[in-house]
Amino acid sequence: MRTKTLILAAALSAAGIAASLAQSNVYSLNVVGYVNIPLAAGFNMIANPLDVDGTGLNNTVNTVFSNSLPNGSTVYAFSGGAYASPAAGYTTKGGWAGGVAAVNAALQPGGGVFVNVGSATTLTVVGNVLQGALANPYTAGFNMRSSKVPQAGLLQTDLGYTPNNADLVYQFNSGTQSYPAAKGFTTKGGWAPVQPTIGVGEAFFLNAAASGTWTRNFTVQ
Amino acid sequence: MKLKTLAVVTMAAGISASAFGQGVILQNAGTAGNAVYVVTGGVTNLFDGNNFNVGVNITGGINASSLSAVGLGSYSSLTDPKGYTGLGLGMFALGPTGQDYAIPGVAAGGTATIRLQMWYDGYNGIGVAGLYGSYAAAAGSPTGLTADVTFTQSTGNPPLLPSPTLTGMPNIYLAGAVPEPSTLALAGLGLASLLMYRRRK
Repeated sequence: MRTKTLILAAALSAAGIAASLAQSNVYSLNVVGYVNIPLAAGFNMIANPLDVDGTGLNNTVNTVFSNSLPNGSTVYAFSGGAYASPAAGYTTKGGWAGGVAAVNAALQPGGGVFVNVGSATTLTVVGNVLQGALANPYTAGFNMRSSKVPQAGLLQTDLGYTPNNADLVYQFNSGTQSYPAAKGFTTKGGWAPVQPTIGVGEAFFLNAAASGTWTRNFTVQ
Repeated sequence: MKLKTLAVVTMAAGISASAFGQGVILQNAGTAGNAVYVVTGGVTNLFDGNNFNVGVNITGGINASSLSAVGLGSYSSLTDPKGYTGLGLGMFALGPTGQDYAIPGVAAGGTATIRLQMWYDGYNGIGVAGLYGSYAAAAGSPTGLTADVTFTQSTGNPPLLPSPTLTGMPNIYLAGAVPEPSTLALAGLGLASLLMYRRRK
C-alpha cells in the first residue's frame, strides 16, 4: 500500500498536482489534480486519467478538451472493432461537432481516443483521481484502453492488469507516427519482448484473447 | 523466440482480419507544406479561411487515370452541408465535421491518388462570396484564382489507424490564369508568319 501511495504521489507531482481536498466531516479523501499530455503533430493515442465529478461517467469533449486543441483537430473513438464515423471535430468556427457522443463515451477514465492535431501542443486535463475497486471491462479482440488512475508503470506489475494467454498490446509512438512491435503475453513464456510500460494519459490497444475485466483496487491513504 | 514468432503471426492475423473500408477526412492542417495560399499582384498570402471560402472539385482513385468523385465531388460554400468550406488560416474542410470518405477502389490502409481543382470564391481579397459557381467559371475568368493539384494520400487502416486528414496534400497556390507555353508559342508563330507575309508583300 505504501508503494502504491508513493507511486501515485510521484505520478501526480510529476504531472503537477493542483490541490488536495479534505474537509473535517468528510470521510473520503478526494484527490484533485491535473495532468499535462504532450501532443505531437499528427495522431496521438491518449486517455483521460482524471474524472470531472468522481463518478467516472460524465467526462466530455468540453470538460476534457474544452477549446484547448488547435483549430481543425479531430478526435476518434474506437468501439466494437471500428472507429465511430464521423469523428468528433473541433473548429474555432463551429466548436465541437461530428461524432461527439462516441468520443464522450471513450473519454471516461480507462478508455482512450486517437487525437489528430495539425500542430504540436500540450493538453492539460484537470479532475479527480478515481478510487476504490475500479472495473475496466474489455472484449475479445481490439480494445482501446488505459489505466483508470493517473499512474505510470508496468501494465501487470504496477497497474494490476491480469493478462490472458496470447494477449497483445500495441502502443502508438506519436513521434514516429507508427507502432513499434507489439508486446505479447503467454502463460508459458510471460511477456515478450518485455512487459509494456504505460504512461500517464497514454491509451493503448489491447488485443485480448478473451473478454474480461481489468480491476484495479486503488485508494489514496 | 517461439513466443516472438507467435506474437508477430497473431499480430499480422489480427490486423488483416480487422481491415475494412476506411478513407480520408477532407480537410488540411493549414501548416507549412499543407496549406492553401492566395497569390495576387505578385504577393502570396495564406488563404483566409476564417472569412472566405474555396470551391473544390475532388476526385480520387488508385492512380491518376482512375479518378472518380469523392463525397459530393464538388464543394463550395453554397453546397457544403456546413455552409462553409474555409476553416482557418490556410485551411479548408469539405463536408460535415469529422466525416471520412472512402476513396473509390482503394483498400483500407492503401495509398490513394487525389486530385483537387480548387478556386477562390472571392477575387483579390475582396469579399464577394460565391463569385464563381464552378472551377470552369473561375478558370475561364481573367479575375479567377485557381489551382489544380494531384497528390498521393494514405488512408485509414482500422483498427490500428483511423482515417487521416489530407496530410499528403502539398501547398496549394490559388493564382490567376497564366498563358500556357503552347499558347505563347502559337501566338509567336502567328506573329512571325504575319511579319514574313508583310515582308514578301
